[in-house]
Amino acid sequence: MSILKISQLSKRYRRFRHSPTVAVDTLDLNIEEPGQVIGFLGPNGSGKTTTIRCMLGLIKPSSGSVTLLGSEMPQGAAKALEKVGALVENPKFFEEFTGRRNLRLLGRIQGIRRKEIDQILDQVGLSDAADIKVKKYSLGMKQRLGVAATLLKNPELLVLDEPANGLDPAGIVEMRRLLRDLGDSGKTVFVSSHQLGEIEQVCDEVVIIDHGKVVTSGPVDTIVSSSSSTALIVTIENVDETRKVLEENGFVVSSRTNNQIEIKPAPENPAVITQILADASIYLTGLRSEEGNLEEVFLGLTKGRSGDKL
Amino acid sequence: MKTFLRLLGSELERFLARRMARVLLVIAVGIGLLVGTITYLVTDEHSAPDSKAVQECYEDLEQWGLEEWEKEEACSDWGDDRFHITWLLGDSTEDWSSTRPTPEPNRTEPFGGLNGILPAIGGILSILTGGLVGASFFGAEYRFGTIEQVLLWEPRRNRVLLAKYLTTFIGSALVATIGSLAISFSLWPTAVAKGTTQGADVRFWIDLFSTAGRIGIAAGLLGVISGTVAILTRHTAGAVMSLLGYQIIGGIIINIWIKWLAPWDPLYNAGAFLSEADTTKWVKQSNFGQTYWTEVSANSYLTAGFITFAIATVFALVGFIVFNRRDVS
Repeated sequence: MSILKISQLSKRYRRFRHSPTVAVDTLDLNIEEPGQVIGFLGPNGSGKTTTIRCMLGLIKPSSGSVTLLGSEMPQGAAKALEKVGALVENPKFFEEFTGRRNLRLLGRIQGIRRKEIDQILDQVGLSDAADIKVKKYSLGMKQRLGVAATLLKNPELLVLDEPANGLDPAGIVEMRRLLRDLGDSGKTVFVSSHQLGEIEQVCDEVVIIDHGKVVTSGPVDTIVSSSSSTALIVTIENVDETRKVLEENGFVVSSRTNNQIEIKPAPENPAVITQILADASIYLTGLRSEEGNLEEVFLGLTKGRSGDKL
Repeated sequence: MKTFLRLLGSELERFLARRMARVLLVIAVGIGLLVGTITYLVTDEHSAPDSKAVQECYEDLEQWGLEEWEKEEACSDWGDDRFHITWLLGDSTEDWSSTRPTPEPNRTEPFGGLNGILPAIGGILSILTGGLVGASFFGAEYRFGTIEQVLLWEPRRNRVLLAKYLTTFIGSALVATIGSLAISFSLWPTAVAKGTTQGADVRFWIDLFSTAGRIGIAAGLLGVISGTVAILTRHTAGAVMSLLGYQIIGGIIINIWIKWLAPWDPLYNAGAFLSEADTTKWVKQSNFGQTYWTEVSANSYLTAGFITFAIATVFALVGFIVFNRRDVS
């Protein structure tokens, strides 16, 4: 059984006297293997949250289909969501109630006992603050409470939208550990985040979307290594002349500090560079390869676009 | 069923813990204490029976040629400024069971119903409680986005909305009933110490509690209507303003331009239901070649209650349709 299968999903929002806004555009996604941590990346406004809401049956797609844990959404939401814990955007709780009471009210719907609630509060490090009103919580504490709410059902699939929002560095490390532990325990974790470094460290696979479409997806290592994000760094005395020679030979180069030049994408055989420079009587003092990372892949695929309008 | 009861329990707990419900209850009890205290202070315990005033009343009525029993009825409490507990429901100073207003069967003349303190306050109390509680209970879900959280736990939207409507009904009814009883009982010390509890027989207590119950039911039904408006506007203030606008402007428009709509006005019907009054309608009549409008009885208070219930049900159905079709984002 597929964990999540999205086929040709589109969501258009009608606007009065304007052409419709396309939030998600014929998006396809298939997650079959359980027990993975999957990163869901995209610039702001790329359609991540809309896709997540469609997955959870909160909004109805304009076209296409979503199958979650074998149930067609949104019709099969009652069956599917029994096994799904989800946190969409910011955690939403009653500010006047304590953290424990908020969880108890949710847990009561499915008959979850107080003891289990206490265990979850302990798991997310909120035991000491459990009896404080949520309005007095920091953003990070609210985020933890949100994650606690998703864990209450002991779900097979966790859908977390920006779970590290507002967390301090220690909290981010804890969250990373928690996500990894959940994945290792056999649960599937679908996590959207802007913190690409975190995603790279914790996820088995990533899906990158832009303008409502999937740009790339697959195992993190494969995506990073298959991209043109690996650079070759040359250290040399005469930077200007070297740049000129390399550019004449068709390489894309940029200067760095400390007499360094970056060649990106790196040629398959670095010896080509030494040969070209030697032919021009330029002798380099250093040559090293620099591996790309997910951030560079992401920026390359989304053309460095930020959805935030300043 | 078990899941639904759990959901209802969760909604009720949330409702009872809400500040709005508690504030309204405190306001109602506060008003009760204030009314009770003022009444206590202004009541003159030595004013009755005043035989001199009664005598003067008799003498004044001599010129009208009234029957003896008519004069007795008109003058029996003349000069009596004591607080009568029966004023809670009507203007009787005698045994309630013998003097309570009773409608004529097959009447065309509208029956005015109970004209005491409680029905008068109850009208305001039910509109305030139902309007504010319903609007805020639903509006807050959209304001804080908690409706999304609930739907992730119970995605069957009909169940969620049904639980919310039931909670609104029960909650509004409870607050309004407790509030109206608090106001009633705050006047009890004045009646005991400076007035009279004469006339408060078994029938009086039955009527008092049933009036408080009807105030509760009216508040609950208005809460459902108000909650639906909050679903449509997705905003507490939007819902309250809509209802307030309807009450002020709608009332004027209905009474001046669209009189035929009056027997279907939910606020008018709720008011008639809680005070046991008939609703009225305007009909054209001709007499000696002259055509004129006259106000006649339209429905009894029970029919008025049923009409309020039917209107609240229609609103709730609209709520179900909108809530099911609308995206939650």
